[in-house]
Amino acid sequence: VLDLVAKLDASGLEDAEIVVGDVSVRVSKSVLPNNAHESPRHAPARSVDPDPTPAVSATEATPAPAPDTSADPAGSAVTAPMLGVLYLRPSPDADPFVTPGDAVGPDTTVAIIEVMKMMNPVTAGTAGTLLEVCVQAGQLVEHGDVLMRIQADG
Amino acid sequence: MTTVLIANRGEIAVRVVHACRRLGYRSVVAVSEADRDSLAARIADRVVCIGPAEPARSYLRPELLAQAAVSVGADVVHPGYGFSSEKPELGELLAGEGIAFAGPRPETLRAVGDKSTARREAIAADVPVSPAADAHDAHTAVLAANEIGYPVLLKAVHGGGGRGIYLVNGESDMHRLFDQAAAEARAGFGDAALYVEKFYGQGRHVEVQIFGDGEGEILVVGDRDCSVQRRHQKVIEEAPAPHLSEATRTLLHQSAVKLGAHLRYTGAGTVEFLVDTESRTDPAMVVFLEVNGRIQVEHPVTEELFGVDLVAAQLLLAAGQPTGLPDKLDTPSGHVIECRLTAEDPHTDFRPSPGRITRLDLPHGPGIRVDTHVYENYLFPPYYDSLMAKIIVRAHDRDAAVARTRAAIEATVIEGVDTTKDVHRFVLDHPAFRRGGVTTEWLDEVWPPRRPDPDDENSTSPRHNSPSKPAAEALA
Repeated sequence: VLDLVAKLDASGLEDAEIVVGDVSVRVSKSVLPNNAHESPRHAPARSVDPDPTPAVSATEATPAPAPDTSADPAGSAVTAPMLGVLYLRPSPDADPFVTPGDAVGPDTTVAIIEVMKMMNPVTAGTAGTLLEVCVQAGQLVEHGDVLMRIQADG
Repeated sequence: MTTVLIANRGEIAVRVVHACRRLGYRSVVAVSEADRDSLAARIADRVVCIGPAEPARSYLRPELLAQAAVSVGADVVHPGYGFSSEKPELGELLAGEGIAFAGPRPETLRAVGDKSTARREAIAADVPVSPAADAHDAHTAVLAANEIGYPVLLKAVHGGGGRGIYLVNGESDMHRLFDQAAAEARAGFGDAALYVEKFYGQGRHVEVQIFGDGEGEILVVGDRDCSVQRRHQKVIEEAPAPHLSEATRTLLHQSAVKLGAHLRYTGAGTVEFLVDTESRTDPAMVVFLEVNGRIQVEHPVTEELFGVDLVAAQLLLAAGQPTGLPDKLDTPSGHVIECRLTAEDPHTDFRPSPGRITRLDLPHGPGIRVDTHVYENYLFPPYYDSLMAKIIVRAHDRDAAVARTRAAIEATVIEGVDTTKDVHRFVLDHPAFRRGGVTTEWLDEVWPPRRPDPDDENSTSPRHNSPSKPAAEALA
């Protein structure tokens, strides 16, 4: 899937569905195409967060989330572009997209957010070095949640 | 404990949170980035941010709303009005996850979501519709118009929101306008298909509130008159509709029941009709307009008149509980009026006026209800509908209701943004409104008050093609 996502990133396509044997994967660059009802026969294991409370803080107590490219002492934040279930690996037994210390470019895929079985890649948005991953795989993330921090180049 | 995800914003989200509290349900409100600080977010039990401010990336995404419902463990989703409330996809996605949708079945929304299919359903249910015929070219359009009688409306089959409609006064107009209308329909709605429909120049908008059990039993919860409109946007609504004969009222209610039963309608819905004020028959000439498969902005006038809680009934029905509504309702005495105060400047063509609300005084007193999501120091966002508050006033009769509403409007003070208070003052003081029974064209004729301009009477222009109306369009 990582490879597919990377290829999609590099291509001019908005989204694509690839079928290999009995495995089909659909990837998309846009936030959410309308035809998202078709579910891939295989996708990263869907986990309905059994205990949602730790995943989501009360919004009223939360200040406005950091904008996507906010530079603060702890680096630039990569924020969730939408609500969904976060994945850090292209498939359960694959390596993570990125780990702390990795160099990333603006278009490097760093995570996937699943919305009703639709996989949406999240890109780093900035070039630099990954400092930390702030979320756990399989958890619900909301729009604006900080997923990772990157030490920007230069 | 039953958990309700509220898939909407603004005053209706607040309204649903209050209904949840009443029922002892847990409320979770799905918000966009711009609504994290909204009143609904402040009073709900939990908030989830689904996307950025733009509706197309948040409230208009059934997938995001359904995912939010799954992730928070919701039992019921309430879609409010507008946004995704009438998208069949939302109900379908939820059904796939075993979550109840507080609205009609997806197939019902499909059946009534399009002008031509809704009309077909009405005919099948033996509900009166306006004379109309498909027009494949200017020639067939002329034949149809001769049959129906001028003036006629030339409409895009797939149009909506008052757009793509031409008034045609005679055969030469038809030849002149047909190709233009077809081209515009193709550009605007992706399909050039047109039809010809009888034009009623002196119509009132009267609608019937229904509540269906999904099995074919339909409760009528009275009617409303929503004829005070600016460019097809409702401004003031009242219940019951004034000056209808018993026969006309019965025809409207029975037609709504027939259509609701035919659809095996589930939950709260509205059947809209045009009542021709020029007809001298009894019952008056009544034609079906459309079905709104959702709770409507103006539902409080019905709730206040009948003493029912329609939003709670929607939630209870979705949760599989008794709705608390009686099997039959008699029309009570009394009268209720609702004024929609919006953040617009009515003196500059209703220019939107978002901004920080620096002062807010709301009216109080017997029979006064205010449904709003604004508060002092609230930054009214520019991304959405301009509705700020609904001032709802009940009194023992219509004259008293008009007088008290007038006083309530005066007592309402909102500073920091422009409001449409002056329009409400003007309408409530106007002899024609005080008499009751104005037509849907009336407000556009009298507001803004101006000197008569004889050159302004070019009625064959695309007069219904009002400037684009953003999100508000869906809120009728």
